[in-house]
Amino acid sequence: MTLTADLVIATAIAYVGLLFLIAFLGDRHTRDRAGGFLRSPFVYTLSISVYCTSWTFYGAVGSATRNGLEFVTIYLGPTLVFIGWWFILRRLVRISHDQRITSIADLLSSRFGKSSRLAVLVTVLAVIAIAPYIALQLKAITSSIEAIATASEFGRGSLEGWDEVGLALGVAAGMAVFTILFGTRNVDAKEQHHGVVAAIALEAVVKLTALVAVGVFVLYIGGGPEAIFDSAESAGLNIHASDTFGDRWIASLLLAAAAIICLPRQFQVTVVENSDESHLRTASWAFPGYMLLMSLFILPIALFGLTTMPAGSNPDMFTLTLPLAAGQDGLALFAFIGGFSSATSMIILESIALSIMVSNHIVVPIMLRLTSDDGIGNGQGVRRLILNARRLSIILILGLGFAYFYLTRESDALAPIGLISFTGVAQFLPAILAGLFWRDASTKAAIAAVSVGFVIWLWSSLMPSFASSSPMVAMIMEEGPAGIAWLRPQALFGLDRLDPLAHAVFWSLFLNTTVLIVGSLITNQSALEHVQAALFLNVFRRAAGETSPLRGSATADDLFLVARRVLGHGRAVALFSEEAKQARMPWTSLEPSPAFIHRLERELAGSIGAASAHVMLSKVVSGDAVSLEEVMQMADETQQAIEHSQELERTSAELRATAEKLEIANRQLRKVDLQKDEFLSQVSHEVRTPMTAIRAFSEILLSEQDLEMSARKRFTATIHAESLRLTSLLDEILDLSALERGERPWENRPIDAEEPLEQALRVCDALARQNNTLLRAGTRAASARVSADPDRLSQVLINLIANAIKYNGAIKPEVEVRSRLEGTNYVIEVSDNGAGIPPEERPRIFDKFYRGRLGEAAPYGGAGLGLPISREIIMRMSGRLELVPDTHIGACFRVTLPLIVSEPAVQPEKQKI
Amino acid sequence: MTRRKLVGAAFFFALFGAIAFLPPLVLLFRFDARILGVPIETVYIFVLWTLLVGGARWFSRALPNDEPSGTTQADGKP
Repeated sequence: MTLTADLVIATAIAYVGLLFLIAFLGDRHTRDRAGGFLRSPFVYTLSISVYCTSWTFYGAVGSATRNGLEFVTIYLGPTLVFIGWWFILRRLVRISHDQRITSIADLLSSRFGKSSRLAVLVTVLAVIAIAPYIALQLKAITSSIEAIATASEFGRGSLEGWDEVGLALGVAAGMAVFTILFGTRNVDAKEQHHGVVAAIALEAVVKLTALVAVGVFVLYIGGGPEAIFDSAESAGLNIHASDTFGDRWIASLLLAAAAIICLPRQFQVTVVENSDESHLRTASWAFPGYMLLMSLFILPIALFGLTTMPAGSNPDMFTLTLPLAAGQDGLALFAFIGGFSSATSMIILESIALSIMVSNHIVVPIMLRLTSDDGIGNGQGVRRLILNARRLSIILILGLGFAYFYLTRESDALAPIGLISFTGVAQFLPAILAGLFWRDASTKAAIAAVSVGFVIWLWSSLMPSFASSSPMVAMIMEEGPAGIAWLRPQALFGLDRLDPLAHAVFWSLFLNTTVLIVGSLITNQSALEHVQAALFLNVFRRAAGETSPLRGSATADDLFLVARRVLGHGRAVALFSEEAKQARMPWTSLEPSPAFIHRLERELAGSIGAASAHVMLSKVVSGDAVSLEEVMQMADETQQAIEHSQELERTSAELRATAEKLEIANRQLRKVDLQKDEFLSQVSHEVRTPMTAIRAFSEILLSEQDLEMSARKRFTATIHAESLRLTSLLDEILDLSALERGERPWENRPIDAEEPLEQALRVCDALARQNNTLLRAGTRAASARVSADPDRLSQVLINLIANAIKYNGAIKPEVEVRSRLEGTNYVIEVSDNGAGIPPEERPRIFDKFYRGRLGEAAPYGGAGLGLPISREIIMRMSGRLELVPDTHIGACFRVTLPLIVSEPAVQPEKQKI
Repeated sequence: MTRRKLVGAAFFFALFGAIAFLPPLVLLFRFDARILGVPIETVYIFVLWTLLVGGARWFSRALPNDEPSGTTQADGKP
């Protein structure tokens, strides 16, 4: 056997050199000729098959020897996801193109309100979760070199003195150098690495051909599938799937489906490195086909190895050791290169993807915060900073992988290590799916959900893998922490019937999803989350270019978001389209010029004021420490301020209306006040006249002692008369004021109105005789039911009749009183044949203190309050008192009272007037 | 077939693919029979897998083209 460890190491180094050359040429090729062959859908598909790592190349055979058919689930899951590419992958690719997503952490952060906390969390989780996976590759390379060295007749060669750990460290260091040389030569804003992808595609071809070559070789020397299965069965192996389709089957199928979306390197090649969405169409069947070919020979190799290899040989290495054992050195070397290919492609891409996440989401933000603005002011500074951050990240990631390898070096199977990583990254799946399909999924819920899933993963999946090297872990797994049985990592909450893998998958994903759903239902989204959620959900719904945030610098995106928030969608789009037209470039690749920013500021100022517009834009443009979210919040606050001022305006309008009403009320009060003054002066005047007479006569009586008895008597009579007049005046004023202010209790009751009329006539009879007036009874109604106070009605009628008698003035004075029923009313008319009331006095006849000229002249004229009082009383009985117009002779007053319609049951109506 | 039906068909194609790989359907093929020496369940899995690849190839051509997003540049350069 001529194959030596030195030879394979030299070959491996030469192979890496070839890869490097290909990557270099690939980069130059794409720069010079805009893609060409390297941008074909098949190169894209081949780069996706970085999914098949040394886990597939070596581990799948080992897995098949232990668990039979189960290894295919790792490829069936991705097959299903790619077959359903239309529903998830297509969305992811489109969203990532639109939003310029650079990693899975960036995707989640972007969807959930550009949350940097979520990005950091996802990055940290990914780095920790991938460590076992890296360790798996290190272990595979180390084991394959060891296998060749052990089989070599020349001994270990230059490996003498190196144990497995040392070898793994050497491999890790070599890989770190290689990846740094490969992946961090330049920084691309889109994070696309065409050269690397080209190299990965070549590796995909190499590993597939190597595995197929070994498979064909095994089938050839084994005598075909039938012979291999027959001899395996006769060797006592169970070739049928006995317990295969159980909980582990379902769990690993689910995990693999999740991993093809969530693994950072898969996201990198499938989504970020995608240069044409239509490539996904080809990959949707070509990648499952690739995996089918990779899996086709796994079972024969495993069974043939199990039947022919000596007991105790490592089944993970059958792909390599079978050709070695058959003396096929060339094939063995090819197999080694195939395995090496699968491991290096994984390590290179995974560390590039992770280093992008670490540098973009952790290192750069921290460094930007620590360094002053001057240091990073120029593009070169930032570039160097990012590249160094990536280099450091790559060393960190490989270091972690090596640390995991070192801690778990006792266990030897490859596949279980990979499944630990799968379970870890699967914790992103609920958040990703919710981000794509559920508008209300919120940032807080996503952070909580990923954290919960992560903690359960750490406890029930990652920690148990240290059981072989740590007695403490072994004890915790046996008895639970501090003896708490229900916290045992592989039997959480007493669930001990499941396979450990299925157990960890179930609890972590179940609790993760539950927290995400419940959390989203009870928390609220910020403005930015709202915007981003809509962008993610409607990624295919809008017309092309309409709402897509701008490409170009990240600032254009943000400018558009701000403009849309403030100006509204239509105006913002119009503004940006116009600028694009002037710049003669598709507005999707618009770089906002200073002039444009100035114009935008003017537009914004129209909506929110110049100062706010300037502050807002300068913060967005300068990329200040103020985040876009804060600017959005400012926009919201400005909006609120505008609403507030509108509200103030409304309130002040209401106040103005109230003031106007007050003004009107005030004018009315003034008028009433004036009337009161007038009334008072009239009252004073009325009172003054009799008082003057009383005072004059009483002074005469007091001073003139020797006055004749007759004169004394006359004077006393005058005083008496005047004081009577005064009293009656005061009575009337009191009566009127009481009536007007409604102070007296007033009782209307059903009466026969003819009775008060009769009484009034009786009372006035004497007065009529005294004045030689003929009181004629006219036609009368038989009876009239009205609702009235009989005494008050009588008072009014007496007043009317007395007036007619007193102020008649005719030579043969006559007064006629008539009553009749007229429709629903009862009418009383008091007319005389006197001088009547002149037309000019008619309108004022019911005014207070107004007396016609006859009244003025009359010796004991009233105070001029009789008619106002009468009118007030009749109004209280719901009737009318009026002067009948157009009478040829004398005056005629008419009282109209409504008759009671429905009869006697009517209760006396009590009315407070 | 209309666009909507086609998309629906693609969805159920993937869904039935998933169901066919999972118990209880997959348990139908767990009996002692061999085709060319290969156990029946293994044959079932690989034949189904091949059919899915073939179906996916058909769908990849049949499914409608999307509107271009307007942000994907032809040259892909930033």
